[in-house]
Amino acid sequence: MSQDRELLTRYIRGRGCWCCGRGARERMYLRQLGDLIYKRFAILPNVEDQKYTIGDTFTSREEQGEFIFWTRPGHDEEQGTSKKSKKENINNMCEIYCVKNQYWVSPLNGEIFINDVKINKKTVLKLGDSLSFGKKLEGHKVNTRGSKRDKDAEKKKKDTKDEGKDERYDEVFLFKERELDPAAFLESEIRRNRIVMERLEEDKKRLAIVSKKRNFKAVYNGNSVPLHNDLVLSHILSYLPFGDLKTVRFVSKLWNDESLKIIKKKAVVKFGFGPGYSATNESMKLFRYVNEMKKNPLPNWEINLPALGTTRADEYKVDATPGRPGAKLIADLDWFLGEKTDVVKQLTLSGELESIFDHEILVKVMKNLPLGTIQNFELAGGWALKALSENGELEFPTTISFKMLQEFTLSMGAFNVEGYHAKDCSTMTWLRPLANAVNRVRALHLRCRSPLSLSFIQQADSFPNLEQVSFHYVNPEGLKFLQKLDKPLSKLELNRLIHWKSADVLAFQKLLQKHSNSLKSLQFILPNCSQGSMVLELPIFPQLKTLNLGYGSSGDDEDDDDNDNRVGTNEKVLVTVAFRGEYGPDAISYAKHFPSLQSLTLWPSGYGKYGATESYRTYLSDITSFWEKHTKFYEIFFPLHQDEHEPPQICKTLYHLDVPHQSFDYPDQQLHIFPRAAEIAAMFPNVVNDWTTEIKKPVTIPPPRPEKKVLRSASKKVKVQATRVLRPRGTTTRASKTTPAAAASAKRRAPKRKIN
Amino acid sequence: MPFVNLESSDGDLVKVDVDVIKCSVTINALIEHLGLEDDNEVVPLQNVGTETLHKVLAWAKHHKDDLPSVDDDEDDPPRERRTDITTWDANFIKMEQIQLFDLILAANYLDISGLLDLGCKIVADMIKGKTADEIRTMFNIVNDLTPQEQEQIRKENEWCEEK
Repeated sequence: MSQDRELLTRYIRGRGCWCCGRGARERMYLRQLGDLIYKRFAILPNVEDQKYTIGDTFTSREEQGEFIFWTRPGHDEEQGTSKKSKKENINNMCEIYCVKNQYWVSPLNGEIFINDVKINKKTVLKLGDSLSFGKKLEGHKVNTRGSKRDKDAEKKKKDTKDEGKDERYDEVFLFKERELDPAAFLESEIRRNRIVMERLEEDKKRLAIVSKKRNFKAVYNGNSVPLHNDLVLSHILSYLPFGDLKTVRFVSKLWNDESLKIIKKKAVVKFGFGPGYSATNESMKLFRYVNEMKKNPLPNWEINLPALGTTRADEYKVDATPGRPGAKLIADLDWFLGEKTDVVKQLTLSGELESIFDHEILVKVMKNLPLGTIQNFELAGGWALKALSENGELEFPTTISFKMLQEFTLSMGAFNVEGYHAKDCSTMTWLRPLANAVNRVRALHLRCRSPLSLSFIQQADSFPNLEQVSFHYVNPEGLKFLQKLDKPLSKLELNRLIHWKSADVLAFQKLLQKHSNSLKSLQFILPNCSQGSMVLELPIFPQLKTLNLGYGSSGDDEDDDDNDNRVGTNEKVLVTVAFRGEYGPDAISYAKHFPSLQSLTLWPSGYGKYGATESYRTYLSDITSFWEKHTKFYEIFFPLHQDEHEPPQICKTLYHLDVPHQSFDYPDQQLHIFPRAAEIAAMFPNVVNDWTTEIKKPVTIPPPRPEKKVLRSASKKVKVQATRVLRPRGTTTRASKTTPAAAASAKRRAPKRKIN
Repeated sequence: MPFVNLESSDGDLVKVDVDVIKCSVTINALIEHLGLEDDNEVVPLQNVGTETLHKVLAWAKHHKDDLPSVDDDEDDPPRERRTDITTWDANFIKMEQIQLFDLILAANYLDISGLLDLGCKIVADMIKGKTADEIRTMFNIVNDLTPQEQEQIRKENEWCEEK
């Protein structure tokens, strides 16, 4: 039985949340009690001597304990416009104390009723009690809670006559035992999982993989030793999806311990304080986390700060004027980050910085972070440059110092006054302390536009320890930065190569040569690389395990910003790929050029791997014509076997191969094997995926229908160990109805069939 | 061709080609460090029964030309664990649950990562989508968690979101 308690309030279908207007989108547990449906208003954790205050004006954590925001219906949100004194405008209704497993209510500024009896002093709350806030005397005839935003919802509420609401009260709460994962919610999750599993089962049957149902009903009566061995159990659990890991925690203590170890690696706790922060549960989020995760704190955090200091009035702003939710958020963060947080190893800190005030809060949070333990830090969000620069000098303190930082990611955007990505970030010299605070990292990821990336790396003195680099956009200046890196790189991920001239392609070739012996992972996107005259010669990569190569324009605005002198889309300089041979560019030899390659991904940019768009999807509507169109590019990596005297090239090291292989037009379950799939599957015998399995599967071809006078023995089934073309459901396998493309494909493969 | 004699816990001797059993880190280490050059020397396997040993050898024989298993490099980003199973392995692993568990234990004892992976994937498949009650019933496991501990797990689970 839960020791925590909660306050429930009436749920009216179709009505937005009164405090933030977006209740319909909130994930909430609804409970039916009698004829009425309730939703959670606030969780009241059973913490000895804890005080909770319910009302609309926050003063301090010391004075009020945990503050729960509640706004009187019809109360003017813009308190500043009211003619009344500030004190008169305060509607802090009551305090709730938790003492020796009992909850006591004490009235403040409003009339408080327990089970319709008005209370004037501290009174105990019992399970099932109703706690009501009396109506203010100024005669709000209609409950207009939620202010202007909720007009539609209120109208709807009037229409439904709001049965069950007592006209004497502004709010009625039900005091209940806290309900954890209500059964109905859990059941729906299980049902959803089962549906997914059933689909998986179908797939597995198709792939001749053993069915899990086979053993389900057969209860194992022997000694299930492997499941009591922590090493083996941990190995088994490592194959489970995240949702199942949470479920198996309930099996036993050992299972809980082992699954928790994996969960801690895979899970993140998200402290989001967006527009929902004024909602009661959100405002107690940090308090609850500290109390509920004392034993097993999570090492991976995401903190998302809202815009606090802006004067802009919209739902994404959190009001930080005194007494309002933003002020509580700042106080909460101060308190929270002062708690024991040294377990944090990975942190994403994001914020929409629209004012100097927002920037100062971000810096304050950063100063209070457990900088001594963080190994992986990401700064995300956006800077509104115009608003920031107009209101004073921005700065990062030089005192920020990470002691264990290994990896840094900058995912910020810098926006101009129109809200577009800024094209010039050279004035952001205040980034210098930040750049120098993180410049000892081994891995640097710049997932931002090139002006900001460039400004950031130029502020740092140097990055002496870099072994892994990923850039979202690399312009020639970014390339120069890469050329200066001395330490051998093990990972290089460059998504967009922009504003490049032919000299830059040659410089890139030299860069790859420089790091060819150390690179284990390489990714880049070349525009139009299959049709051009400019050749990028790839060196031999003895240690490369992962190669992701994309090509073509992404269609995003920075890509299209400046077409002059660019490689690719303006077709002034076109790039193709070749491989180093003894006497110049040569065809690919996996044994020679990629002796360690385990994973190969070849996708045109925008076709899914690098942000699919609808327009690109249409190109994949017919996989056969797609491969015909891009045949030159794919022949670079899958050369045709032309010399019959030489054995075909085989690469045994590769176990993961990702190429476009399925038409978007067909449902998920239906494969449509692309041309050359059989050749490619044979080239990489250790690649196991849906289409290689399908290709290698023996296929039984139905014999032609025997004529009446032919003996039955003549219709013996023939097994063919070869490829086949799968068609969408509803189409027949008869030759007369085969598509022309499939027929052509089958014709190409015909001589390779082996008949058993 | 060098051979090694393996003795099962049932006392049966099985002569095995060293090339076949080299996938076992345990036996490989024994051969390398103890120098079992004499064909008459016997390696006792006290935790592996005869039937299970034959299954292990059948798997090892089929996979003897495989490359060493792919270990995730610490420098590589975490990636999805491979859950694909070849058709041969899928047919091989079709066995009763008790045999499957014995095979997993043998693979663990002999340190054969490929076989251990295969067995664990199959057991993981059995677990997927089940409730805790169903898992306990399926594997005959006693629930030793107190109601308070279960409540605490529920609270903690609410905070855990997948990265």
